[in-house]
Amino acid sequence: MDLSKIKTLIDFVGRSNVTELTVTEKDVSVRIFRAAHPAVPIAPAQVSTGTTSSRAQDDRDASGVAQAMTVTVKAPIFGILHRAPAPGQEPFVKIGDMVEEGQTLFIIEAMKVFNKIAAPRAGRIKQLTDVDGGEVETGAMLAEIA
Amino acid sequence: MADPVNEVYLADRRFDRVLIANRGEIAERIQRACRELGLKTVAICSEADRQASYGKTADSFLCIGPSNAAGSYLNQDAILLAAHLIGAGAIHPGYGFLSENAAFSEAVEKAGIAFIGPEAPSIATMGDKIAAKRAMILAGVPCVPGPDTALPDDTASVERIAREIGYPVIIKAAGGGGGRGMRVVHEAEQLHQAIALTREEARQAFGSAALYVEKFLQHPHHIEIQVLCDIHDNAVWLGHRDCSMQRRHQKVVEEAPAPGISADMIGPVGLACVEACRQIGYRGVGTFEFLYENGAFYFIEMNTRLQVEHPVTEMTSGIDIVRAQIMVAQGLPLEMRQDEVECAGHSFECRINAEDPESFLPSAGMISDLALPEGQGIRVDTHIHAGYRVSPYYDSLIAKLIVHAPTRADAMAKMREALSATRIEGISTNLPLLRALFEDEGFARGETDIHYLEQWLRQRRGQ
Repeated sequence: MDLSKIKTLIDFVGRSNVTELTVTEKDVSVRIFRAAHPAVPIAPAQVSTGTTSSRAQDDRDASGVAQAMTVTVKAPIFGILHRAPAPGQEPFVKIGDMVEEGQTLFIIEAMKVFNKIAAPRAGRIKQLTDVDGGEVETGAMLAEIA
Repeated sequence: MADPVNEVYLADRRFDRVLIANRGEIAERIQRACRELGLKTVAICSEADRQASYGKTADSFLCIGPSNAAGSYLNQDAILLAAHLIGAGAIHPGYGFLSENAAFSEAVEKAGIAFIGPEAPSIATMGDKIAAKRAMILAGVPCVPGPDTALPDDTASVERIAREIGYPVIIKAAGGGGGRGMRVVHEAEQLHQAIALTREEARQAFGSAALYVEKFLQHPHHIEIQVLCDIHDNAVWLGHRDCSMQRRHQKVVEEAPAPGISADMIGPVGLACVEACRQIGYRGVGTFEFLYENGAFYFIEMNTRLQVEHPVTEMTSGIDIVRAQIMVAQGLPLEMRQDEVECAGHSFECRINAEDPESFLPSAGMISDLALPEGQGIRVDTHIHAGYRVSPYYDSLIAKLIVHAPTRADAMAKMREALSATRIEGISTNLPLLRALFEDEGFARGETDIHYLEQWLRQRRGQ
């Protein structure tokens, strides 16, 4: 897919009410979406000041293109990382899984409060932390979504 | 029970080494009381608490399990093994963790070790809210209107009971407590669904589907009475506290005495609590919790342990509650009679939590720097210091700031000053919230019910 074609697609999304468009040609996929509302990947039971991945922050003003970019999900607080809803259960996600925006990826437990960490956007889980049931520092990489 | 306590039993109960089965500020507090009594101390910790300051000052310090409390502070076998290993003659459970676990009290005593707390049957009775209410009614302690039996299954009877009490009513789980397992019902139409939901929650959370129903009070204050009992049939009450300043059923500020409550009003209630303790053969320290509305007191539950807010009563009564608790566990008679208990002045306690003052998200991590207030009438109960790493594994209480002054207004002024002199760097704390609360006029007037703080927070967010 050449650049002019991509530019045409961007213009199309920009003019229309379409919020997301994925076009696949041969082996190349281009995904264009409008980041009108910044993604808030943390959705605890309480109000959260939230933390977003650095890329999601950058996209806030760039209401336009995000082509096959990778979003890093970082730990918003220091706490104990749980990869499954309860001990002995299947993990929320594994490498290679497709996730929806807002889907729970992890729980970080801190002082008896369980904070759900949600996917900032849809995509495929490309990388995952090794930690499970242990402590993660604020800002630690938890996952990469491509 | 007035049966003579024989010498062999008393000799059995003497101990010179206490294992403190807790962590944080209360582990520090209990150790201090033990040292003052000339007792040796055994501190225990989880892997996350290896650096604890009270570990260094204890006579022995053992790591008993992993950071997760289930494997350490809640691990009865590991604690008993540690007690045997070091030769501890007593175990102090502190608050939380195993402090109100009847099976643990029994296991400790069966192992020939003194449990610094009540006997298992007392804990079990008070842990069952229906049984507790029945015991209170027998002793003449005023209770919330509603039957002292579990709700029947047939709907007609339930409707009749609720109608007799008068709406709004509150459905509660017999095995609940501390604000969990309850649901308010404002009209008859909501009754059956509320019962079904609460019953299911109770079955899952407490392992018992038993429910009971009470009148729901709209604007009550949370008032507590502190009691202290020995095994020689002596029991005293040490005055009252107001703990209405709560968020999500968690106390934030406590004070003694409760404002707006005269000695004439509370006196008969205090004596009824003491009578209840005698009737159930209660041993050690305990707290009767009441709701207070329109001049009347209503018993809600009894805590069969030392409480977080015990210092405000220590400040006003001049009695070291932890020291007294340990002494009665040794079989010694109380050092004071009721007519010798005199409360003076006013005391406040602020709970300093490691949490964001706006979002209330917990904030664990390293304390980089720290300044704590000092001076006459100021007390800080804490285990933290510069370089201390607040663990994400346990609750967020990191310090208690306590003041004492002749009047309530003086005590508020002293707390304002103490709060402004307190500085904790590196993590978020609720200090800004506490400072703002002590500037609030409604709080200064002492008119705050149990919903006040939540409303105040909502208003602040709305601005």
